[in-house]
Amino acid sequence: MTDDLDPKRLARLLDAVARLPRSVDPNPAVWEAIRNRIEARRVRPIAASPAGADTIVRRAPWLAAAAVVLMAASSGLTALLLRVRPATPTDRSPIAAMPAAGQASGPSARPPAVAGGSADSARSPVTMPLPQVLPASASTADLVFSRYDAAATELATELSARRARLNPQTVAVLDTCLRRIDAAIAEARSALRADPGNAVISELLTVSYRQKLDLLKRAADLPLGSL
Amino acid sequence: MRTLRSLALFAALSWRLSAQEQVSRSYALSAEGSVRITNLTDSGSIRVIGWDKDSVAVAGTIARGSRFFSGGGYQGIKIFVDLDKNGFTRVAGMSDLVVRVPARARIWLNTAMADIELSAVSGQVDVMAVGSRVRVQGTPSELRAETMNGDVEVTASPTYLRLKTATGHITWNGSSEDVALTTVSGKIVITGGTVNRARFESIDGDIRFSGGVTKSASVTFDTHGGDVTVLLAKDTDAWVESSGAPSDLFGKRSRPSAERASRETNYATVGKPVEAGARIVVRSFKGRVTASLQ
Repeated sequence: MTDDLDPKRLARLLDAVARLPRSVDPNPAVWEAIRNRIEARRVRPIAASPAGADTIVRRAPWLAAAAVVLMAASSGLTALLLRVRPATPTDRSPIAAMPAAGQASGPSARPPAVAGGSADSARSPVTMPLPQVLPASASTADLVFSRYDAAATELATELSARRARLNPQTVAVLDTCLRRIDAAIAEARSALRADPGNAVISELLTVSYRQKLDLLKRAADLPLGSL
Repeated sequence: MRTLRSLALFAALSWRLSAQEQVSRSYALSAEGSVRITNLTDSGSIRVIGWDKDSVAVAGTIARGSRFFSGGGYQGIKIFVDLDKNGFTRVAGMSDLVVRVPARARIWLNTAMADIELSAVSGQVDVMAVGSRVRVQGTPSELRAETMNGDVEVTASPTYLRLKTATGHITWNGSSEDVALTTVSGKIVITGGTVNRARFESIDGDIRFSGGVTKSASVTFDTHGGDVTVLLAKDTDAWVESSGAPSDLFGKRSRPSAERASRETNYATVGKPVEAGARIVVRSFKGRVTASLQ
């Protein structure tokens, strides 16, 4: 096909192409308009919530704190688990080729999901609840779980302030559930003290704490007065 | 006597009718617009039905002593029922609404005690409730539903599914790419389909799974004291492990331990899983674990 081209015209074309600038800036006026449109979209009105716009703002630090505690606790636990968990399954296992529980490919290796999803963890900035004073001999697990306790205590304090204005039936359900979770936590922590390296108990304890924090957060989100 | 009974019945019926106010509204709405429904009254029901029209139709009755609002634009509609704190001192009757929405609409439902029923919807759905019973049937692309003590029943196969209760039971029939079902003390019952990435958690509620997993599935069961029953489809290929409480995996029992703290992990395989194939992990503190083939 190039055989049909006039060599002189082709040379001129190549010469003209070579003189073209390597980049071209857009017209500044056009770019200004585009940028204005982008900026306008960044500012979105907050959806009106009849019961709770101010409540959300007021609770934001607690919720953010709880989310961060969950993330911190998950990281701590992951570190703990990686430290105590054997790298490969025991010889008793009939599936020696199976990926070890601590490896990233397995479900148990996933960090515990933050209760409430990413939307909760997006609520920042953050003040980390300080754990209670722990003895120097406290283990990593003690430190991690004391942070869960601190977050739960703060959320429970807020729930106490709202308790009188919630439906009694709802409060009864909450109390029952919290008692069950606390019993599970106490039992698991006792077992973990007896067997500090037990990763399964640590995982289950994390699940129980996560459920407790999630329940308290949901209770804090309940609309007042109308229930 | 019969006359008296008739009069009493008539009076009761009249009171019941007068205790409620009829509502009927309709709005144009984009096929993928959003619908936000809030009912903060103590009782009643909301039925949301998807239809093949670009409009929203609200019909039903509102309890006397409640307030009803609705409005919005082509991209979004809000419907709100609340107690009229400045009007009647007591709510009489129940607020029962039927809301027809474009099938692909984005739906938010927020209720206190009103029961919820969704059907024929195919968009994203979010339900936040306290004591409501929640029932969903249809093909929602994503579904999140939370209640405290209400039961949740879902017959659907959304790509993304999150169901959460405190004491309410969770019943799910379907398949999902990514699912998490969580309860404190309610029962979780999963039947039917296939899951890929799944997490089932309870404190002391029993968990029963009956279905299949994909070839690369990652399925986790965590419970403190609930019994876990896993019934896998016959053609399943998966690694299965159970840690914590004594377990019976396809007839293979975990070794009894003299000391409770030294918990054994029980391993088994189903079918012919490849090395990075499907993996099912059960962790139970003290609930019994049983796995078998259907």
